[in-house]
Amino acid sequence: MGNCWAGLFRRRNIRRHIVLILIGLDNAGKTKTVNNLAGEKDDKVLPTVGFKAVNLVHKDTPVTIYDLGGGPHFRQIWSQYYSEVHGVIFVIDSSDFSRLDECRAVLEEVLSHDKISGKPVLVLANKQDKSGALDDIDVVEKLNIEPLVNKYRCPTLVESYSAFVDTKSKKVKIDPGLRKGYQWLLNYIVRRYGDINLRVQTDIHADLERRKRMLNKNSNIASQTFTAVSDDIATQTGFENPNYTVEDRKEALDKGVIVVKPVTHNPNSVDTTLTIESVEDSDNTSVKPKLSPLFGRASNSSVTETVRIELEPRSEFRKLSPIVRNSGANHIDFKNRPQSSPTFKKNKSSSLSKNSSLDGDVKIQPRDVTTYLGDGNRTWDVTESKHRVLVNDAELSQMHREIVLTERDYTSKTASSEVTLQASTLPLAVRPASASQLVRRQLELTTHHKRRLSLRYMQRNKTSPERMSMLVFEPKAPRRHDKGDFDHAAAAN
Amino acid sequence: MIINLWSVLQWYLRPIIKWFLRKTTRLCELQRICYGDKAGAPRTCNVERSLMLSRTKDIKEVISHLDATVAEKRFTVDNFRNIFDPSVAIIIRAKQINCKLHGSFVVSIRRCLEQIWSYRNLVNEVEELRRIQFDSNDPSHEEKLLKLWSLLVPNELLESRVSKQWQAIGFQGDDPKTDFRGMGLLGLENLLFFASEYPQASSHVLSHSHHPKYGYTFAIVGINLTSMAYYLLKDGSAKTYMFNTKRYLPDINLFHRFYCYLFYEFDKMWIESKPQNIMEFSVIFKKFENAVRTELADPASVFRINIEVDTI
Repeated sequence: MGNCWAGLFRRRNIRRHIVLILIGLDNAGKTKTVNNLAGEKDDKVLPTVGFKAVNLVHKDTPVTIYDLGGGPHFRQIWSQYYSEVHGVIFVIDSSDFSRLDECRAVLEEVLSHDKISGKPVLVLANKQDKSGALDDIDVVEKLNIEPLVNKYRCPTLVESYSAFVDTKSKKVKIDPGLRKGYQWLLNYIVRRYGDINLRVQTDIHADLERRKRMLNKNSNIASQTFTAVSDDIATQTGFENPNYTVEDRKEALDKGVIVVKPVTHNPNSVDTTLTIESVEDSDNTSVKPKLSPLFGRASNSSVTETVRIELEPRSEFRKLSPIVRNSGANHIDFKNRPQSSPTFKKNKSSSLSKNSSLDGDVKIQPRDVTTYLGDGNRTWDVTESKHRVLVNDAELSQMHREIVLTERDYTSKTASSEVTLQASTLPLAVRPASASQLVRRQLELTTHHKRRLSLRYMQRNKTSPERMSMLVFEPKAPRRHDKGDFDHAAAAN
Repeated sequence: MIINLWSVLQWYLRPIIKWFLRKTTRLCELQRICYGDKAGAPRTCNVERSLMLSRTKDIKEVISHLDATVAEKRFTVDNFRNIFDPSVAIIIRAKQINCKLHGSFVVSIRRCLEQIWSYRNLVNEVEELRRIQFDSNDPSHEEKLLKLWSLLVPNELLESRVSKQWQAIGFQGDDPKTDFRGMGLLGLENLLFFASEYPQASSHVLSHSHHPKYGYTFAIVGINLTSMAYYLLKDGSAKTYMFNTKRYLPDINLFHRFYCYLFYEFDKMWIESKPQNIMEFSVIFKKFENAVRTELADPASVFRINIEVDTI
């Protein structure tokens, strides 16, 4: 009972901020739609160049709509905004039959983007005031929307409306179709805010981190200076130290927050070379993703600042987010991440297994171990990884961030409670053995990577000679364990 | 509150100050402005303010008469004699000015009146042009559009009226007509003037817009600049520019020239600020607008395109 009240109270105090993206072909009526929503009456609508952010309020929740230009020049830049949006509004000019094919292609491209799949989509069939315009049913049929959204698991509502404003009438009336669709979208997001926001925050951090890495890559690849920079990455993006203990978590059960604190690393403990050999990443270096000013601040947070991610504890937390459930797709988009590479795992497992066996202070509950492993089995698609990376400490910490998020997922399901990750200044190499177990298991699945991995290790050996002992240990590790072995190993730890 | 009090005070104090100055200098306010301020925007703006604040019945009538001529579209250059001769005569009589002693005043006040009401006429004209939507059925509109293509891309022939080629000069779709939306024919006229009167500058700017890294969409940026010029004209900020040009009275060509200046300067600023991608447009555009507004707030500023830089 008390929990109930606490829950209600907490829900009220949660700071939500919904970000929507408004896209569609040019001349579909996007800017007019957003003007309509904002209650502005401006008949001098211009073709949008770039984007325009509009702030609205929906039931005390601030809503930001990114009104993006629809021209073919801008469509390639849309994807830079995908990671930070909670929902999508797609506007269609339903009176322009000649461009329906183009429209369908664009819609499919948007939905198939892995940052968008699973997020709610509102499709607006605009310009119903024109004669011969398609109604919503026709639009669904012509654009093939149903199989499309099922394929990418986007909850979708199609509404017909007209953004045409009667200039004579003094009061601006929002078209009922538009209002209905808008309400639906926002209500949907508000109901599942915790889930969607978790994904958004994760994506944003991934983006930030990738950008940082690219900056580093551009500026300096020399390993000496890189250690310092990599330290920056970890502190600025607020990746937490994974060395939390069980007691800490119990303490924080009722706070409703994940407290993420930046950690200072021992730069010598981890390898300092970074090689990214993925085609995708090298492409991205030329066009750096630009986040909105809304989230840009995150990168400026200083070392002393505590980064807080507040999440709504929900009991249905787990059953949502089709992406998580989907075994093919990954929960936190590991596909495009270099750290999901086998090299990384192997690298990590080596250090982990060594450290965890040495350090007796790390406490792990068996239950946690199984959680990690369960998640790992399902979500880490190892065959996907094309990136070959030798990872620095910042990436290691990022890795842990993901593990922690998954863990948080788990607890919210069982107890609708929260996790606090206590910051600690322990060297990063010390971490729960469960993670290393997970990594080992992943390694078992990827036998075909072994040769390349060993080559990597040879190279790395040159840069950090103190790893010798580990290297001797390493190649045997994956072979020694088969399925189910981890339980035993964890108990031993 | 304080502003309110100040305006009340001003309402009563202004006649007193004016009376005092009149007695001491033996000149009316209009004369003081015409003799004291430099010709151009400072003088004309002050004369306009003085006339608008005037409480003399005759002067008020002159103003309403001139406004009516503008509204009724009888305001043409060959009609100036009929319009301004009686107006100037009324003002001189009302202010009891000796024409023989103050010959230069008559000339300058006439010039000011011409400028003020030409500007008002121009606002109407531009507004009218903006209201005309681009119409594919109108051959004159189509002709202008095709002329724009031939001026901007002289080496390439347009394959058809609806073509992907339009995207090369920065229109969004295959058919440019949808992009004229809010600014109507005014956007097209502006672009056309830029391409025809300043061929070097426009090709320079167009080539900038094709820059692989700092490229932008020429035509729709141009239309956004049209709207900026339009709003500057409407809220009176463009008066500084319009009144400072010595040779021309404010008319549609001067507005086009103003637009060309804006486009050229915007292009310069865009390239200088090295944007990461086109999404920074709204920020830079806002910055540019603020810069132009501060520039226009200074009555001494004169805008001129430095084509010399361009021809290298």
